[in-house]
Amino acid sequence: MADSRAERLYDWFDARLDLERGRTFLGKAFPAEDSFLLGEVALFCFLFLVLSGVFLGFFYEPSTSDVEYDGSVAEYQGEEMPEAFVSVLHITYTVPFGMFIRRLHHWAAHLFVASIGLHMLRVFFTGAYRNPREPNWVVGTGLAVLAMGAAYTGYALPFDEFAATATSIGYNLTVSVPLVGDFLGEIVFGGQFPTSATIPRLYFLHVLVIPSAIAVGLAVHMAILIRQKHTEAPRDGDVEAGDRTVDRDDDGVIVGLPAVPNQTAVSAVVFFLTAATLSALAGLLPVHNVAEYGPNDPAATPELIMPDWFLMWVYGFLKLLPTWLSFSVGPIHVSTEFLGGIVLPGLVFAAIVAWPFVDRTDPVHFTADPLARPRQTAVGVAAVAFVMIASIAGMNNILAEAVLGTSTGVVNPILTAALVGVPPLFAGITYLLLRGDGNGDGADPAANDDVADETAGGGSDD
Amino acid sequence: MRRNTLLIGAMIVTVLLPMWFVALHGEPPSEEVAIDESVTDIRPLQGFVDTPNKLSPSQVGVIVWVALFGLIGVLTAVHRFMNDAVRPPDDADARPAADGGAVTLPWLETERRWIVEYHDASDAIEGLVAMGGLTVLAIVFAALFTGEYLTLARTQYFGLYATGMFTSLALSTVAYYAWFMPHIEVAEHRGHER
Repeated sequence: MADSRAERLYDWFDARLDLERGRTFLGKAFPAEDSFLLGEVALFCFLFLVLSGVFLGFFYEPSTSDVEYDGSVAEYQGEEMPEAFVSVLHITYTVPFGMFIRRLHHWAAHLFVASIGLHMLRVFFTGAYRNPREPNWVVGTGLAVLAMGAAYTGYALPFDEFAATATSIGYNLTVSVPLVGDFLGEIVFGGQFPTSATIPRLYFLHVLVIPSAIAVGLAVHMAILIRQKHTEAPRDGDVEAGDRTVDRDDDGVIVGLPAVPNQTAVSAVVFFLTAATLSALAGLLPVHNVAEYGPNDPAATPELIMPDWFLMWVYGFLKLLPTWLSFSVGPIHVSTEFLGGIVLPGLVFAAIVAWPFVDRTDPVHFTADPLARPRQTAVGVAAVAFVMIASIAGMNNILAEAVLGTSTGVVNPILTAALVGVPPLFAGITYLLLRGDGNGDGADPAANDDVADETAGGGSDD
Repeated sequence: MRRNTLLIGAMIVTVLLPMWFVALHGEPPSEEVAIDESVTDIRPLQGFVDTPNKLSPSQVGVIVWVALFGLIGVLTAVHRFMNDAVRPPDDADARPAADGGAVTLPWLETERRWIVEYHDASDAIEGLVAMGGLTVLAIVFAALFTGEYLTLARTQYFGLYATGMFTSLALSTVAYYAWFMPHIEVAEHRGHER
């Protein structure tokens, strides 16, 4: 009886949703590659962000109006402070799960950005962005930008001293855009920072606009992935099953674990281990401890001002660009803030988006060996070095004072020279090292052999 | 590992390590926030190990990347264990279900998809012991986690219990996959036709 009821229920839905046809999706093949799980880590981080964000949203007040604090943090009892700051103190020290969930939300945000970054590096170095996957590379890059935007807008919400000061840097960059800067400042920050509209505006962006855009982007990213199917690592040999054989170099066929049950179990493991990692971080390590920083004080300046780590390279541009680079054309003023904070990062992301259209190939579904792609790998190594050196420049005050015991005036010229000189040097060394391998595109083992022959005869991989 | 991999890795390390070294200098130590215990019953700051009171964004950056590399390392290890460790060797009977008549799930095979490898689960007793032990562990950690919520709500203990609970569930899934789930691989055409 129970079976027939279940069957009737299934038939009811099948008549309306065509489940029978969609059921074959459950068998889709997922190549069992370890590094392919990075995207799942990012996906689950987003899930944790949404769930923990819902919890925090029940207690957070997006207002800068002053209220008297009567909570458990002795230092602030009886003080008039912004309601946003007070509500975060309440979440952290009075709500039973509050401190743990708030930290988990923060660590998930950072792990989300980091896992997207590493996922993109994996895709880049293995050439998985190539034809026909250029659209998904573009969508993925958009997701990376949105992830950073989500983290940045959330950073300001407690309206503590550190975050408010760091957020003001973003405001100054926004209004530095010629012609439309003030308008953009009005849209994003609600006018000259900080106003009473700033926190509600950033909160609106943080909990609705940007997460919605990320959700849509993820849906598109996944839909394209499902439609095009995964890339696959080169096979060790032909895959034989009965009278059917998949040739080693046949990339018209994908071989892997079925979505259900095998890949689902693998994904469950990724989910649980991501949760375990975030729990360990949230339990043991503080992140953005607002009580230590205190509420925003417009009259004071924190000892240490810096943006989130993933924006440190942009901060590095701002610190290294000399002020004499600013200029005016008629009424239009182009400041170094605009050049370093908007133009240069914009060019970096434009280059990332454009890369698959520069590195053109015929359609390919096998991942490449980075060591078999001298030019592309050289560009990637140079880009990684560039971002890291720019990030060191973003911390030039720490480097100068805490590490070297000197002034930023001494280290800045060295950092500028390194930023200009080291990436091309690394690119050159990488290219020379890999060119000696004599391999070409490295799309698959068979192609490697073919292209190696071509290369030996003067052929090119792109 | 090829020589060139090491050389390129070494080059990247020459900028990565200085960046991390500088970043870790971010924030000086400070006094712990004092809690007025007459206002709340919970003790979020009580813990079993001394940790920093605050971290700068640059320090957070180093920690999160180390955590991510650690997570990927663990994932790689368990992923390989799931697929290889307790499976029959390659030269064992890897009879495709279509030929051998083994029972498989109805959605696996279509006109454009077929099974290329099928190993029955080993159902070994050690798998049962592992799953049983890990299930008990997950229940214990879940109980401790709930108990903590009902009492002092100490953040470090929440972290410890949640980490234990999720790790137990992860390893339990690993054990189930390795010992009790058939290892199936399918091949399918990439074309856009359904």
